[in-house]
Amino acid sequence: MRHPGALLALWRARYDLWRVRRLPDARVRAALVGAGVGASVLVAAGLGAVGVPWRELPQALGDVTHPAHVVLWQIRLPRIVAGMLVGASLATAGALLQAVVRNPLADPAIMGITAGAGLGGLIGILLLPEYRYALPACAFLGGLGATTVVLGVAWTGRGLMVPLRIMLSGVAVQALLFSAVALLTYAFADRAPAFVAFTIGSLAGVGWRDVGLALGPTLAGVALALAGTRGLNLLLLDDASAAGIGLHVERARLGAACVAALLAAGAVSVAGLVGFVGLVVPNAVRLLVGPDHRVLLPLAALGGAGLVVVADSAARTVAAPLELPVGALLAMIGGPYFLFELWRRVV
Amino acid sequence: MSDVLVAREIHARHPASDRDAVRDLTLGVARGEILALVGPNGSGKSTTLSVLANALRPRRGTVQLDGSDVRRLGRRQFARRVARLAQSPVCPEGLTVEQLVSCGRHPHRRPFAGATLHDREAVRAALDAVDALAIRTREVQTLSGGERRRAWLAMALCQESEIMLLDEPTAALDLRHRHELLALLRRLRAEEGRTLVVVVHDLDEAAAIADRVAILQGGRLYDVGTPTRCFVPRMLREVFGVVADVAWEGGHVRVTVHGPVGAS
Repeated sequence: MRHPGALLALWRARYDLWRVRRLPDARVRAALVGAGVGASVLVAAGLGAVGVPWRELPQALGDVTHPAHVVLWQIRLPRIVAGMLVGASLATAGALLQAVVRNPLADPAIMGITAGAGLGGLIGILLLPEYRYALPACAFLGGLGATTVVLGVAWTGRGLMVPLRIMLSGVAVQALLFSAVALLTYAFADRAPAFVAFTIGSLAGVGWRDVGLALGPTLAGVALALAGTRGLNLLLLDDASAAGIGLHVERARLGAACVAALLAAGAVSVAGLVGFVGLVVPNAVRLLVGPDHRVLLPLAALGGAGLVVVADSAARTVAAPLELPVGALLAMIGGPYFLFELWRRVV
Repeated sequence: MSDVLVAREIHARHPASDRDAVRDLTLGVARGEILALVGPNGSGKSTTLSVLANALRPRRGTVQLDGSDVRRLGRRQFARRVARLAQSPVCPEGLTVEQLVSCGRHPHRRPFAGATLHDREAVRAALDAVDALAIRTREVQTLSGGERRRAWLAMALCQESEIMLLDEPTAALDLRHRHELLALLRRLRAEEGRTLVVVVHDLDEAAAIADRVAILQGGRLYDVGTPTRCFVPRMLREVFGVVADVAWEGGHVRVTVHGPVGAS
């Protein structure tokens, strides 16, 4: 080997590539994330069966006679907005749960919340097939129900919620609920198409009505999360220290978990079981700007919105005219990222 | 009574344990004194401190702050008056020393308000007091054990509470910082009139700073009093299980251990 020194330097720099150390400060990084999301929305609006160059976008949006006008307003825009809401919800929920269990590998999918929402949604489709809002409503209730079970099991009865207990209880509940989802999908194979899209996670055919459904929980959840950033920052400390400076640790955990459930259930009710956004985005943003939730949360919401919009654009164009489920694409990014995080953390 | 913080007939155990670590203990802390908690491993020192800090609810008995039950006080209200340094706090990832220390301002801050000028001054003063100004921008995780200890102590200091409960504040500190810390504790009492309850392992340290020592044995209070009255060979034999001589030299105590009780 002729340049072992250079190889060693590369090896040592492998995390710095991720940390982007040379960027001056958090504000610039935040601006970069925002610009990236804006660009991804523009690109997503232009991509598709009816292509629109980005220079024509304002005209196509404003001019009723433009050939792409209807496609943009009726198909592409609602889908982009829904994707942004789903991504922002899941990423915020992930950041909240990571604070709750004080572990960067937490995520609404891993903690069983999305699985609960999925089971609820499936039961909704089965019991009330003719009622359009059965799926989102039941998904919502399922997500909240799963959270209740996870926290209930983790609660030791002495008013204690140990982070690891919440995490383990979440993983167990997730496994249980997902097996129920799989059994249902198998048993009712005749209704498979709707089921499959839902369990993998997809934004196909999403319209303004779905945007309306996701808007409330997302805005409420993100607002609540941002209002609680100081408490979330104190949750970074150990329980005794946080309690010592006046934080109701259990109350803060419970509140953050409920807001996460609200966000995740809202997202699932629109897009199905989309995973890994809540895991990947907050961790990536944390590497960029550090653990302070006052910066982390808004940027994670933005980044999540951007990631889902980009992934969904890829999902509908990569194999056009076939459409891939965005959930599968995201899992393809998220799985390796999860492994990378595990490998990176030696402890 | 001028006792500001009092534990009355408390029985307490750790949540995971099935036996009481502290049994029927009554202990009062007088305003403006330094009280050292002394005892062998497992004698209930840290548990007693947790109960006093309102972090562990006793199974029986009450803790009173200025005569009122601490359970009736709000957590923030309590935190404004009593600060606690835990024995081995977990280090949050990616947090700088300054961010950690400013967490100590939480009980004083209004919801949704930013840090005030006084908040920033308090953080700076606390960092200065523990000689941590130079490391304030470093991540807590990258620090050595002693530096972490000082960072956590700074967080408790900047709470600006009149009562401080410190669990082994000198653990992991080097000679110089240990000396400075003991001087700081004495100064906190003498100049700012703070009340300190300190868990100490080293009897000489206890003698050097404490007005009174409370000696715990098997979860019960063995004795309370001035160090000169309490640190005697009989106590060392009965509580610590060692045969030892005690010699006093100008406020310092030297304990010479000859061997465990029973070995002659």
